[in-house]
Amino acid sequence: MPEQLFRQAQKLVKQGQLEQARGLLLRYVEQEEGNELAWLLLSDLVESREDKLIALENALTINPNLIRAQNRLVQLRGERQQTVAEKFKQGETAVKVGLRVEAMRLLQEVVQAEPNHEQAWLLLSQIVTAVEDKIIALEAAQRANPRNEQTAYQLTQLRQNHSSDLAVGTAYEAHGELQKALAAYTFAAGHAPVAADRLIAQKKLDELRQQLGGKEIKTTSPAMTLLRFMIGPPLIYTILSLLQNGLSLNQLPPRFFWELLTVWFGTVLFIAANQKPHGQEETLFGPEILEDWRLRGLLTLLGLLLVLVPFVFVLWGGVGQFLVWKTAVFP
Amino acid sequence: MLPLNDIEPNRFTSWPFMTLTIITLNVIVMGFENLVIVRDASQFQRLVYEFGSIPVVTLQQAGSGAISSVTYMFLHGGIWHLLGNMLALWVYGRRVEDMCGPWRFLLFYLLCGLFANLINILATAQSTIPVIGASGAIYGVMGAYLLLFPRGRIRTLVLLGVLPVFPKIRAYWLILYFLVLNIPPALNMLVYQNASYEIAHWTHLGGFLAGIFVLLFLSPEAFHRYRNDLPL
Repeated sequence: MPEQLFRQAQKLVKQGQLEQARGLLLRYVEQEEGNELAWLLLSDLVESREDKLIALENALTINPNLIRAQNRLVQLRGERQQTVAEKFKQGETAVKVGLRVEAMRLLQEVVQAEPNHEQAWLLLSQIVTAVEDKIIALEAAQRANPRNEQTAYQLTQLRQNHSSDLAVGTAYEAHGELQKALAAYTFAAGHAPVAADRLIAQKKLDELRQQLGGKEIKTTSPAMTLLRFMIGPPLIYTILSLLQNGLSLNQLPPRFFWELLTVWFGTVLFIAANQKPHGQEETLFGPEILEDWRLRGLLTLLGLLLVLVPFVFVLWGGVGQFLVWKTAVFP
Repeated sequence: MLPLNDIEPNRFTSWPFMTLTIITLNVIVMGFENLVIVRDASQFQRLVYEFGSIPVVTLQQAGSGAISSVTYMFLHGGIWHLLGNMLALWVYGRRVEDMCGPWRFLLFYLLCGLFANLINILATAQSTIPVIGASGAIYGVMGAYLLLFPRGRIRTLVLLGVLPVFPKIRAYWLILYFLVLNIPPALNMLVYQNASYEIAHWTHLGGFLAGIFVLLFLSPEAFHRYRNDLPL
């Protein structure tokens, strides 16, 4: 059923009925959030920049190799940054002239768009009233700039005077930082001095876990891909050698281990030279090697050679043995 | 019960290059076998003994275990043997290749065939009967299919008496059915060292076990989807 929605939406886009297509796509991604093509299409159909950014980020979470989406994301973020700077200036002015509500609105918009805006967090920490909110704002400012000693000092002072993890958890939850809320509730459920607080924390913890359940996407790093791919050829080589030597480990020639190492090394070289940029994490060889096609080609060829030579040795030995046996059995 | 076609579409590619190449290679070898049979039928038996995998010969290091472990995968005992195997490869291989990419799929296919042969030799160590056929490797592909697309639907020919029907059957029913068919005779072979079966059941079971190795050969994208339980 969800697939039909997607196909119907694609058809509507081709016919130019963008409003209806967007509605269908929104319904589709609610049911099936793992289709990067749907997110890409949606990023073109939604109107606000924030929605476009969310759609593109979702597409890139599913498939970090979408170059066009990466470029579009960079462009949109650039545009957003300009707006953020203007809003921050207005927020700053509002703080100076005492328009607290207006300043709160503007600065919250700034930190929503740019969560690492240290100055905005610091200003927010000055104008919010609840201690928990001050702590959260200062923590965010500290994350944005861990070297700011004044922030660290203020934070320590506030924490010493206020140690209710339950309240901190609630504030985090209200602010949308669910992982941090989870940590605070977990601590409160075990250590809050009042039993009622521990019970409330446990209840909130369960609700939050339910809310978070299944939403986390695990990314696969290039290192993991390398680890995965480098097992196959050595495994094939080991089985082939065992079969050649009567499935007896004692019969394996001493050169087997060197050859196995060669196959393994060749595989690593071959794969590392052919890794594609991940978008989020580093590959084994840096871009200076991967973007130089001659060097990459050379490493690929060397890797292939190192893998193939031991296989040729085993099969060549096998052919000799086979011919001797054939002549003896079928003269 | 005969699986005819996988009705689900491929995700990344439309052309199963390596599956078709392996099928073509098997057909060419079959053609060569038929030439041998036409010239001299007794030579065919010799061909099977030379290039099939014989557990005793491999264990005694008389012939070449490495060579026969590769060649046995491409020999078949007759046209129906070939057709059955190639149909199964066509049904299950396409989407598994789509998930791996052609060259990694080839490595996976060969690994399944080798592993299937290794298990068969260990289980029927006393056997002097040559094993031929791609079924060991194909059972590996079936195992991989079950792992990746357990809910995939396969158009299957089922004979109700003389009436043919073509239901779409979920992969887990179909593959587990074929797997279960192999277990009693395989146990019989193991317990009584009874190698008189015409089917290499241990090769099938070994190949099926090797299906799990597909996780080593999945493309980064497909692995990411598998790991996060996203639709493949």
